[in-house]
Amino acid sequence: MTENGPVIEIRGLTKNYGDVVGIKDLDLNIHRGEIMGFLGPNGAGKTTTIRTCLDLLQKTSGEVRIFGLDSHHDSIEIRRRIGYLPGDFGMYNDLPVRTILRYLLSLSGYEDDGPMEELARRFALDLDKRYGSLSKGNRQKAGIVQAFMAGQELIIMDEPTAGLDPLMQQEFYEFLREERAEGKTIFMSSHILAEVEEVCDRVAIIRDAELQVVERIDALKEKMGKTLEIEFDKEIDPSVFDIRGVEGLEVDGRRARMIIACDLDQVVKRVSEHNIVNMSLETFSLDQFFMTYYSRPGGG
Amino acid sequence: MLIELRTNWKVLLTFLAVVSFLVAGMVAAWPSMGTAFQADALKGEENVSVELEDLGDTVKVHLQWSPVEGADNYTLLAYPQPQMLVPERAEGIDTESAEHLLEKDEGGTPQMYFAVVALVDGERQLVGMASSLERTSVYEETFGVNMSRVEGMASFMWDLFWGLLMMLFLGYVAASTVSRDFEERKMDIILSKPVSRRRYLLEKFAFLTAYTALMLLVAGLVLVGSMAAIGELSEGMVAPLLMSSLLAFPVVLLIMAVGTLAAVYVQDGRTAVGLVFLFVLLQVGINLVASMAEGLEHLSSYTAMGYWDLDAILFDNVYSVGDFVLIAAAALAVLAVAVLVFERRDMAG
Ligand SMILES: Nc1ncnc2c1ncn2[C@@H]1O[C@H](COP(=O)(O)OP(=O)(O)OP(=O)(O)O)[C@@H](O)[C@H]1O
Ligand SMILES: [Mg+2]
Repeated sequence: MTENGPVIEIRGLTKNYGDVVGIKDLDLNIHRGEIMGFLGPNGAGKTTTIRTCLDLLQKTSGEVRIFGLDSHHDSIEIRRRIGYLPGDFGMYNDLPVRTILRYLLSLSGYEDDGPMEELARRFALDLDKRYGSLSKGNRQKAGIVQAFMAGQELIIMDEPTAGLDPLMQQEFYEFLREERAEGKTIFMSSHILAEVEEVCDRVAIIRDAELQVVERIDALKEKMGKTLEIEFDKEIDPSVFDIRGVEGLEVDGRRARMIIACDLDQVVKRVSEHNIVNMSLETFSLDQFFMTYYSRPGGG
Repeated sequence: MLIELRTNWKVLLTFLAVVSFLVAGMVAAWPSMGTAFQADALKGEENVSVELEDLGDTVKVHLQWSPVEGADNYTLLAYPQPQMLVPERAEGIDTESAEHLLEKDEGGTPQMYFAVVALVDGERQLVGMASSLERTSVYEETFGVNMSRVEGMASFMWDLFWGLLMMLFLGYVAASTVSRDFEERKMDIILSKPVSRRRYLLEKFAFLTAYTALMLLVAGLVLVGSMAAIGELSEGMVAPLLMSSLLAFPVVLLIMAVGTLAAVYVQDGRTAVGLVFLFVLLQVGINLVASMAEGLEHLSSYTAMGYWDLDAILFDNVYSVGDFVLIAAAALAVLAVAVLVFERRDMAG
């Protein structure tokens, strides 16, 4: 498979737990060098998707290719090149973190523990402490270190900043940007909208086991920037808004509501031919956009 | 493999210390306990000697006794139980010997008790008693092990004590070594590394095998050492004692394979340990019934422990390589099933 194709290619992935649907017919590509955010309410199927990619779960149907390799049959080869931070994990409580991390390094067949020490220093993690004696945030750091310490080119993380204090979160975002600059690909689920907005290049949102939207963050920001609502003195013909860059148009008698993804001036000039009773321009934040997938049934 | 040792060594050392102490203590107490397991002596048995002559369908018992001064003659009494001897036809024997013919039964020579009575000055006086078979203690009749011999002691040690404890302990170690990795989802991290599930499980089992070997070596040495310490160790005993330990190897491996299978199947420590304990205790139970209930002896051949023939190795110094290989093969088969189950199952989330 070509080195230019998607790093992760998910086609029609379905995973059922008996009668419970974990994820349904998911199509998703993640490209080299990008940070892909994975959003969705509790139970949406994020962890299921991630654990299926790692072959920890057997998929019900569909296909997952990573580096062009089959996620199940070529799982070992794939895992040589992946770092994984589970959403919920443990380590041996009675051993020092360094011992555990060295053991995990040896499983990766990776000799050099330099990066491990370096990462621990960067995230202020004391490797001499027993894992069981660490606080939740420090355990999370141990998880982060083990995901990155063997220099893998693809990192998959399930809620990576859970438990980190705000300063550490910022340090972690900075670290992710550096990793991306080195060409690493990152796929991470999250419940922190601001985090996705801040570090991710793209976001995929799922809900009730189904994919709702995949979009570039900067495109979303632009699109979500303005919501225009106009009330006219009489019923308005929707064709008035037949302008490139006007999206999500809803016309209800005298009222029209739309998202402006173009120059506002164009729209204002066009509607000025009609009598306007009221007009409001709302600045819609990305947060609010994300929230619609958490609250409204069916999503956007 | 080192990671297992690092998380296990305290438990291992504690277990070894406790059991070694108990075994050594029991062996030390044996000289005084051993006599309790001897059969009650027959009255005056030192005065009467017995010799058997095999005549095909019958057995001729030659009895000879020490002369009693002033005896007019002797009477020989015989009965299958030692309590109610009745006068035998052979009354008024003038010599110090007599013969008695016994019909063989399905067990060969039947049990028959004899008493020799002398007539001295018109009064009857017991010379001594004898038995057609060597006497066995109640314990030996029940369990088939002669505890008054030091080999019996070793067999008892293995059967009810060291062996059972060790099998339960090693079963626990096997079940928990793997299922501990399922707890708190350690498995998610471990299996995200480039390690196949087969390799993971085989490495765990290699560790368990080494653990077993160490445990059995210590068990054998503790038995030999503590018997030497009480001066009961004859030179010929060393090899059978160590061998009795080695013969447990495939049986324990099978238990460990069952523990491993249970762990990957239920992916939960407590349940897995429960299942392997059930496996061990069921076998112990069946073997106990088989050894105590007449006609049910064959039951023990359905259990792995039934192939750990302690009495054969300890008393007669014989063992079956075939049985050894059979149980080892069963252990590997169960391990193969464990690998297949592990490769096909979702990791608990
Ligand atoms: N082992 C399991 N057995 C049965 N159902 C499961 C199992 N794991 C997950 N599910 C179900 O699958 C669905 C998706 O769960 P998943 O854990 O993937 O959600 P998520 O998006 O990661 O949620 P969260 O944000 O809470 O982590 C849920 O309905 C969940 O109840
Ligand atoms: Mg989750």
